[in-house]
Amino acid sequence: MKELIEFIAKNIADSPDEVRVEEEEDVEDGRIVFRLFVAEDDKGKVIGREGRVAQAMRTLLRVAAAKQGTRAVLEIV
Amino acid sequence: MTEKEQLEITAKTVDEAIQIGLSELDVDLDEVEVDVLGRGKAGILGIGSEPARIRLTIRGNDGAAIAREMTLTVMEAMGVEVDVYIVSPEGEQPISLDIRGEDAGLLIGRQGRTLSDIQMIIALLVSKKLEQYTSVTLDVEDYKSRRFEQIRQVARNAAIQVDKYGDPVTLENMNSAERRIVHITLAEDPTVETQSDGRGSDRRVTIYPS
Repeated sequence: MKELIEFIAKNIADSPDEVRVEEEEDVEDGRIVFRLFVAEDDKGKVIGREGRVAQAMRTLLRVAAAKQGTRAVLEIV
Repeated sequence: MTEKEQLEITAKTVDEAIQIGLSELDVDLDEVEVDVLGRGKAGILGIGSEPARIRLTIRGNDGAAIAREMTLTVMEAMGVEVDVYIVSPEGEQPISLDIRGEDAGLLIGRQGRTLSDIQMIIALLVSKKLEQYTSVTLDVEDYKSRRFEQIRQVARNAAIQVDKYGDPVTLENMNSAERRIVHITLAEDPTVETQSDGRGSDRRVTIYPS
């Protein structure tokens, strides 16, 4: 799942070297939280117009998580 | 293009036909364009069954191959097991891909919304890679072509109702590609007019008597 977010973000960003994904398990509800860090200038690109790119990434992440029998959330920092 | 670069295969299923074709041409999936000529039917006890028929055409390396590669990488990162076939003719846009396989059903979502999201991401990645805007359409085991055919049918039936009773009919909410199908299907019909209303995912087409 981390690779999924990383691959997409790196291939959308103008500065792929600055793409970083942190993974953390939320102990309270068992969800996995992914925090995506990108260069300031790339933020608009990974969020997209009306947040559509971010929403699409969340959809893909949801399928990936479901496939592994877990739940995941994506935060763009 | 010489005869040898094209091959038609008949087999029980589309997937089986593709496998046979690939080994006969001695190529990999990313080197061919797949045309499904007939999807085939299982029938009951062999009665009414129809074989699947496909045509494989050997293609050069182009944007479609890159799109296929990108899609496979994303699918692998999602942990879903699928194959990706190139459907569009060489060098043509939109690049059109069909995703098939065990996990393909997970990729459609309610009213095809998961598929739309995947398609948007892939189009973004491919456009960025090719350094120019590239239109990519994804389908899952012909889900969209079947859904579009169903929408054409619904639109035609609704138009008949509208013409008969004179009252407008509003269809269920659809995405832009689906609404477009309704508009195009009824554009030629002089008895009705179509218009979309509503916002975002709740946008619907209404058919009015003209």
